[in-house]
Amino acid sequence: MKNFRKKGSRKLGFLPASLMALVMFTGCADLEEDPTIANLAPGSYTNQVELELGVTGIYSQLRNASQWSTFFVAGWAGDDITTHKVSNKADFREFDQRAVTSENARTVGNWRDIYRMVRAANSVLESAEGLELPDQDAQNRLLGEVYFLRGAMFFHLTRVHSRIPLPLTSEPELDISRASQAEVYAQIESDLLQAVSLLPAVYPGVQPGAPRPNAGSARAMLARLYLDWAGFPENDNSKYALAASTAKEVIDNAGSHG
Amino acid sequence: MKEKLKLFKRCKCLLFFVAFLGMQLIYAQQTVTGTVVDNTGAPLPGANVLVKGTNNGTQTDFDGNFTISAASDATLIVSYIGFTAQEVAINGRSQVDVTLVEDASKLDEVVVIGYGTAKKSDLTGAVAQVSSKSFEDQPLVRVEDALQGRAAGVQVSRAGGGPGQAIKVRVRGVNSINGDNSPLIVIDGIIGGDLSTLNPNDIATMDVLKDASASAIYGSRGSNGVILVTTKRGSGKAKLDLDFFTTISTVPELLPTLGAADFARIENSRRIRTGGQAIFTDAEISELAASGGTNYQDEIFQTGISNNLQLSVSGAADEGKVKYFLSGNFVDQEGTVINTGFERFILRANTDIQVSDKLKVGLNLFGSRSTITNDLVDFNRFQGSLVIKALTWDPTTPIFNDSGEFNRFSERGLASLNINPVEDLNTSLIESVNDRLNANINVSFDILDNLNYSLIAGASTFNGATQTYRTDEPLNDVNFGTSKNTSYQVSNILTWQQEFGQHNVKMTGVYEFSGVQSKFNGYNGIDVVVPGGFYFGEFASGQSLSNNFTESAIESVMARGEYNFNNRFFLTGTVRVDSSSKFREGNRTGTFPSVGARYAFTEAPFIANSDFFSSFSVRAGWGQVGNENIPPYSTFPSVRADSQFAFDGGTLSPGSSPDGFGNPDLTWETTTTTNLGVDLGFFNGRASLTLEAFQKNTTDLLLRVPLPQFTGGEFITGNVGEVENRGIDIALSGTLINTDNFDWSSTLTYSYTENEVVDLGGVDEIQGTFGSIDGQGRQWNRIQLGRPIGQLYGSTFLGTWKSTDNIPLNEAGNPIAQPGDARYLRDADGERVIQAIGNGTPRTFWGWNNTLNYKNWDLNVFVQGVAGFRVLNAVQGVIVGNTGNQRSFLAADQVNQWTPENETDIPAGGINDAGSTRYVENGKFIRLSNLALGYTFRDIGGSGTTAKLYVSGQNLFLITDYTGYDPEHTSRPANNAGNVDVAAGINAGSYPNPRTVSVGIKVGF
Repeated sequence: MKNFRKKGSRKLGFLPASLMALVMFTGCADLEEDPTIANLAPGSYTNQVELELGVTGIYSQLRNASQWSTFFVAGWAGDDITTHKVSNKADFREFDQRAVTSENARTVGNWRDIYRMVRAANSVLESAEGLELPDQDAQNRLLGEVYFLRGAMFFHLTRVHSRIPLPLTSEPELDISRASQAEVYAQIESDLLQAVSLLPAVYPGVQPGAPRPNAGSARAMLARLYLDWAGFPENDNSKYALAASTAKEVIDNAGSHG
Repeated sequence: MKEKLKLFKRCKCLLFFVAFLGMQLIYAQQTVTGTVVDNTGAPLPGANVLVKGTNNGTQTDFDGNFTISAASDATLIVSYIGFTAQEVAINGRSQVDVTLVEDASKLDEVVVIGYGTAKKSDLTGAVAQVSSKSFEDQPLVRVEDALQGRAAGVQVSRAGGGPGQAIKVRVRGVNSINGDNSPLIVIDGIIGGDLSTLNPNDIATMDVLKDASASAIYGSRGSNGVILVTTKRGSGKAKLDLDFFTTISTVPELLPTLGAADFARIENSRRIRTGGQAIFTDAEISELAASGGTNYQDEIFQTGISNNLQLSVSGAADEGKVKYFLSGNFVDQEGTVINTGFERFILRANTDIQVSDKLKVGLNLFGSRSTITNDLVDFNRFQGSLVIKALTWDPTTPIFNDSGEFNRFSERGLASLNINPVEDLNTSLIESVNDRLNANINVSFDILDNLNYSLIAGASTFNGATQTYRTDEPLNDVNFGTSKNTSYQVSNILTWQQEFGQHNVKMTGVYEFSGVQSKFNGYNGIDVVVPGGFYFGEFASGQSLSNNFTESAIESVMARGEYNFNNRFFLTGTVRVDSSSKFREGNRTGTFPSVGARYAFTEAPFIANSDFFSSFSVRAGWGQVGNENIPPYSTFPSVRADSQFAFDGGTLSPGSSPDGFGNPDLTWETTTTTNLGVDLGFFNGRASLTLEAFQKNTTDLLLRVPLPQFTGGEFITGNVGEVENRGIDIALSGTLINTDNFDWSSTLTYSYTENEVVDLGGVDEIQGTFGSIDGQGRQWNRIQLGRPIGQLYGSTFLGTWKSTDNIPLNEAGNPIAQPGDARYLRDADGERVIQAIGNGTPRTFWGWNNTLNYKNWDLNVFVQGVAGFRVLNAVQGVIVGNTGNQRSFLAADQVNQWTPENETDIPAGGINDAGSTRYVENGKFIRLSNLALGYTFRDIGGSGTTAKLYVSGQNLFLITDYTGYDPEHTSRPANNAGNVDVAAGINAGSYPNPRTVSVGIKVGF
């Protein structure tokens, strides 16, 4: 009896001891996270697909920003539109009556959604730094599109809000302040000129009606920018000539844009 | 004789040597049998019998008998819950009978403290225990209800009365502004359980670790308190228990709204007032007065009938070496809203096998399936819940049109612009099925008499799938989502205990690792071109899919030392070191220390010579615990994959866009708690009082710091800010009457917690995320420095503009309102002042539980109350109307609205801001949570069978000034509402809490 017990105990003694040893040595949990299992890694692009995904993403943000009437809220200041007196239309009414308060949720929404798109554009430009795609035309076209979209959004914002902050990176810059009107126009001009130089005359592979911008679209918007620049509040009369010459270029090249 | 003695000595030497090798001391072992009875001579089944100074123990069988092998000079310790433990020297006897004396103070109850147990009288930390005894007289479907009001400092609130709906449990207030404030649930040693999937009948005890000196052993996951659930084990003769009850649920009270005729009259006046024309003729109005119209609130409610069946088999076989507890539970609940329901199956098998004197192996298996049909929370879209839509639907439009089809919208475009809620509930179907499977093994091995190694290893799988079919858009939508979580945990526990005279030392060491992997897959189809239901989703015009994967792991070591001097002075010290995968190397490891002490004044003259006091002890504890409750990968920036765009207007091209900003420097949120406690026993332990005061400070909050809009992002998570909670917990319990035929025992719990935001990292306030439901585009909550979490934020209502008032002009030169319009507080510039208008975090919780026994009758009365909070009754704001998607007036008191003749303060027009002081109410309430009467037939026909018949009612009365359905229903998050505690006190239309009456029978064979 004694013998049996001894043996039994000793045998059983090994079990937990070895179990413990096993879990001690094999158990160390893996504590290094790998977010790339289900997430595209942000950072430098290595191929055309990644660049294309990023550019499409900017358009997706554009849709988010513009799918409700909020995007065009400034248009309510026109004389021929009005809205329900109370309810959730009160914010539109503030634009209608040109007495917009700082708490106006429509303004805040418009501002927020457009800056999301600006951030997406900045993120693509950062990720594409140093990128050398075999298809250089595609790279130019896609980057030209990004400059066009960023310029267009700054332009839309400044037309509603005049002086605006001009973030040019995808990281949060907390101490950025509103740029002067001239700085804003200069940034838009620079973005659109980049777009003019990078975009092709005809965007390949899209149906007529220009669902994606070409060099002509960028020039047309540039002409519009110069008109605004020449008028209130900058009143820079020198821009009239630029507006005219840029617009003329669009008209003269109408045929080449397909 | 001498020879024999020599041999004896030699043997002894040898055996000492063997014992060092981890062998059992078997010399002079003999088998001792006996019976354990109480002072009336009734056998005590399941009493613990332990050989003193060893881990060798057994339990008595159903007849109170036990058999144990022990040395002839050993001492047995016999204990049983509710009785004073007794030490009996064997003195060579083979038959030892023990009579235990009832200990009304129950101070010797064993309390689970995590990775071990302690006697309640030895505790140094703040631990509250809820045993099955205190809730077995209440027919329960949900475990959370068993906690409500029964443990001081534990706050349980129902977000809504929907079947299967989440119940919020908080321990001593809320710490975290963005993280989840739910306590950690540990079920039989396995971390991270879910109370909602447990069968209340399977629970033996729930021990709540309230302060950090107790919960620090769970380190990084202990900051919100820990609830340790111990499930039942088998003992004694085989026993079959059956419990069946049927419950009838109703909505206690309908909210008053305008009848159809009054509605039509007031709608006419509203239209005329704003320059329109009457929309109802007098003839139509009298017709509506005759017919009464349709009350959609009444139409979506029903009387729900539910059934609950509990079955368990338990016992011990092979001389108590194999213990088993098998149970099953089936719940079938009908909601009080049509076509809503909940069904749940639970199976459990707990098996313990005493393999040898040293080795015990146990296996717990648990499986559950729950199905929620039409959870109303999932019906929320834009402006308010389905309940609000029913409350505000046009009473002049019948449910069906003349051809028997649903009237989809109000016939004249009045009141709620949403679709008919009766149609929505009858044609939509949202079904969530959750399957859970847990298996865990526990091994306990006595390496030496005073050294034990235990292993707890468990794995669990959770599969949840929700399929949604919605008919509230012009074309139907389908959505499917399935999540699969698999988790594992391995805990190695080494316990060493030694007595040195009056000094008793116990050391516990733990090495543990655990991890969880989550996968999500789903698809969405919008505009399904054929009707028919969810399974026609392939015909959706727009289709999209979503996927996600996350993984996290924690590795920990923990050490605990417990020291006890002469059962008078107790000291506990712990330290836990956790490493979490959610933080980067360098910030990953957190060290969480704690210390607690207790001194019992057992021999002080005022105790020893007093008939009044029977015990008195004081406790103090300090500790730090952590919180890592952020999503995995939070230290990395993330990219959205769902950024498609259709360049040709049709086909979507895939796209990616930047999402979250990663913060690589994130680290633990730390909560530091100081706890002081006093435990008093009176009248020889018949009554007891525990008083505790605490202060806890949570620093380095894992806070979502909002970013300016021009950054293009919403927030960045940082370790910013501090929240403080301080308060007291009181638990008073006692046997008020104790005679041969009549007993009355009563427990009162009370807790008061004050919450304050101490630091927000340099800003004074952070905007909340609870978006208004009246289309005003505001947020109704804020986090404000120096104030409690959960500030309500809105405008201040000042009644109506009177005809004599000098109404200010706006910039365009027009008056900002006309007489009879709602008037709000405005600033010097004429803009409405939006500011804090109350706080929704309750400060006081109390519960009073009474059990009365008279012969075979028993009565349970449980009353509970909450006070010190405001409720923004936004539902009433939307009922009043003239706002958002509800543009008519519907509140009953609108019949007394402002008129030029009678200038009341009930507006007849103007902006109706649902987020204003007009709808802020005091939420204080007292509820009769349970009233149950039972009659027990004992030992039917001498067979040992007992049967109990009972009838009970829950929520039978509610005393409150609040005008909505139930002031407790305030934590329901609206879409994207974020942390429910930050949005406390906002009623955006939750499912009403039912009043229930149950009839049941319990039989024990």
